[in-house]
Amino acid sequence: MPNTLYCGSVGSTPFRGIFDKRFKTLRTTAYFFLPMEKGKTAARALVPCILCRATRKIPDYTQMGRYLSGLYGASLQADCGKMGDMQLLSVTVSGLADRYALEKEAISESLLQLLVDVILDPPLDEQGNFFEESFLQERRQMIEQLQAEYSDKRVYSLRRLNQIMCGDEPYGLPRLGTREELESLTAREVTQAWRDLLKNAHMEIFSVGDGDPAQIERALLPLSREQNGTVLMGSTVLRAPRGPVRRVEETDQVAQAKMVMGFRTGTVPQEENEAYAAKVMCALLGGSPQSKLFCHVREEMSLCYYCSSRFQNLKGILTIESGVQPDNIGRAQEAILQQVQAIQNGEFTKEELDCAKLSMQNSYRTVEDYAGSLESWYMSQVQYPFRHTPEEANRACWAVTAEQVIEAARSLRLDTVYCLIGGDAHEEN
Amino acid sequence: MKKTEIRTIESRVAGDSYYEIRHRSGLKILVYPKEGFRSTYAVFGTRYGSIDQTFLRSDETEPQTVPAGIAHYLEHKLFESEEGDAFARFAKTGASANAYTSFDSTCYLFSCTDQLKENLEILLDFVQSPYFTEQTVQKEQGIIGQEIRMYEDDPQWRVLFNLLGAMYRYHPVKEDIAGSVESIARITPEMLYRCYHTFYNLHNMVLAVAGRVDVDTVLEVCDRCCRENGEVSVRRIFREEPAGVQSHYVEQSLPVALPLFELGFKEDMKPSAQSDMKTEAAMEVLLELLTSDASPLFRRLLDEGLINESSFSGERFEGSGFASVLFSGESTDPRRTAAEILEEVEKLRRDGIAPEDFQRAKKAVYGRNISGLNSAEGIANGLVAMALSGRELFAYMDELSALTPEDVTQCLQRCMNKNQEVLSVIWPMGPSQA
Repeated sequence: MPNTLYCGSVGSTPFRGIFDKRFKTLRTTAYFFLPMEKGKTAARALVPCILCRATRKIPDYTQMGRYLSGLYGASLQADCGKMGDMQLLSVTVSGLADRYALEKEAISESLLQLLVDVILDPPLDEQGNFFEESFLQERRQMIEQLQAEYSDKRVYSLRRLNQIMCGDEPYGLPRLGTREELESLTAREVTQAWRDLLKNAHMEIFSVGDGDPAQIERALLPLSREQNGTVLMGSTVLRAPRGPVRRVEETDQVAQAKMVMGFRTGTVPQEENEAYAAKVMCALLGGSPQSKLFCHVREEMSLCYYCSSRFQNLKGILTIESGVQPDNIGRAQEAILQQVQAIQNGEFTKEELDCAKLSMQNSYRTVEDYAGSLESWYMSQVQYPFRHTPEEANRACWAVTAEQVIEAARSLRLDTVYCLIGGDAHEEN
Repeated sequence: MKKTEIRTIESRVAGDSYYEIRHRSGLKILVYPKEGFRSTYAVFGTRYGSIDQTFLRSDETEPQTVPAGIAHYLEHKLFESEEGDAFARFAKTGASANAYTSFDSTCYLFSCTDQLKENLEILLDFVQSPYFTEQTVQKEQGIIGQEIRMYEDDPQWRVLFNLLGAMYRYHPVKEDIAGSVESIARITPEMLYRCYHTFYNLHNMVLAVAGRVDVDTVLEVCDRCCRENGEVSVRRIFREEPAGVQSHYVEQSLPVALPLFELGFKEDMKPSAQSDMKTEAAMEVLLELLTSDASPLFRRLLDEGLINESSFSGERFEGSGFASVLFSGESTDPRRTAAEILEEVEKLRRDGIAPEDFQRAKKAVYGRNISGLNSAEGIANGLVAMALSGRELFAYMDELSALTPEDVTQCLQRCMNKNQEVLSVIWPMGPSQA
């Protein structure tokens, strides 16, 4: 059956996957979950990057590149993200399904072995640490990646809001650590972080595409441990909305101003219908071209080029991002708050609500056709007490009532407003 | 009345096939069913982009020049009709709709999981129903003005357009796709109607539908909704572009943390001429050889701390009357990076391409192209882009399979020539410069 979630395990590690021949590829990811901890995120973030450079069998970076090219341009990717208050590290191998190999090469077997080797068997120096050269190379690149976030002012503004609003929570920590943290690291500390991750992180494996789950379980067996990491999943810090709204305005050489508004609900939805009510409310407010923010603030009032909302379920945080002309900031903020209030007052029609749900239905169902989206979907479910398929999520949205949407909107409290406007350059290190 | 003609195009290597339909209305329709798919992705495109600023219709004698940014403006305005806007209509079906304007095309699209017929009807209808008034045209200037401003702040966008400005003297590819605040202020409803009726002729357009779809559904809707119009052909007029580049170096300061560079090699082209598929296939392999993780150039640039993996890339940039190869990324020393790239190109030209490197690069490119067929979105957009430039997806993949080292070597000799290069740099703006 296409799109049936396979649930198995590799030792004590949960292994899930969607196996379907309509994909011409197979991708497999090993995930490591750890709590975001001040002073530790930078070293951990570097681990997957260093691991993906080489193995003892393929000790050179360019050799690794050639090996992957020879496997029909297969990819080996490191990633580091944030999920609620957890840091999420991952290594992915992805390549053509075996049936497309022109010379009958076993692409999947080679890639699964590679995944095991990069995680467990990196080249180490005499002291058992990552080679200084690899460490320095990856550290430099990560610092540059951190700096690049400043170049994209939309990303940067959202990052600033999160830092200001959640500065004292794990969620407010930068996922890659800070530049200072990265600069003070040593190869030894990062090697220690790798060992720590192997021992303590909560681990999950996910595959999607044209492949055989039994083969994957067999091949990845060396990754199995007697018991999964001790890390507690789903723990998160919640803050009640603060009293007066915090407003921070910064200047830089920008033509278009950015305004990001952060709201808190003060609760993390425990009940399913509560969680979906907040999602539906967010879609109705600013999730599509038919949403309140798009229609009124952008189209009707021409105040913004973009104006959209997103909801962080795990943190009970709703953010509204907009790009505005500097002299329109006040009006735009007023107009946005008016739309939030409109939903709080129940000023929306059944048709508007249905449109929001239809648009969500479209996104949920489209997830099933894209390998990357399927993987993100199922991994995003890991932290919930309930784990839904996209179709179950869709049904849950349709069950949300107008009253529940109003209630979800009423729980919103404006916490922080961040604006980036034209002026003197801001010093970014 | 003309008849509708259908043919099947198959790819043995990909194991896929799709239908190419010459509809009696003049519209070219491409239907690529993907078994087991839940969603459908449809793109309705016309060969009309930002570079089409001067043109001569086959039923007229005088060419006309219109303000920069008009194709993009038209894209925004087509979503509106007397009855309301197209987004509102799509909202009722849940489809996710969008549009984009490039240098040589404008495309309208949706992705849906239900009511395909209704969505196709909406797509064909709104694109075929222009409605512009003084008031609605006026209103859009604020929104597009904001969009232009947003791009002024976008270092990636600036580094490219600064490069194109240094590369071309006349070719309109050097102008921002959205135009400028000044050029869009000159746009009137009459101009929009005129450009619309010139370029939005079904004979000049393509509809591609991929994913969960069958030919009969698409044909049934097209039979009903395609409004036949007299075949008007358009001659796009470009000034003869002088050989060589205008300037080898251009720079700007913006609030970025690291310098950004783009190194481009211009190829001299006749006005309106376009590169062929074989050249493009050879170019894809050549870029793989030069810039992939397996390449010696990439290694050297990394070891010297000149680039980083997340930003460095090489790409082909070509269309009517323009063609170039672009290398871009963040670099602490753009000048040295550019010198290293130039040297590597020279070295490859001198030493030749090693057979094993060629085979490996070709395999990687083959893998990437097959993998691309996973995505209905990628397929539909790719089919339209290729059809609008007179190319075909599977024929392109066959060209790739048939490539020899000599083809790539020839491509290398022709392109990326010395004295045809432009380096564009965006420098960080220190607080002292503010």
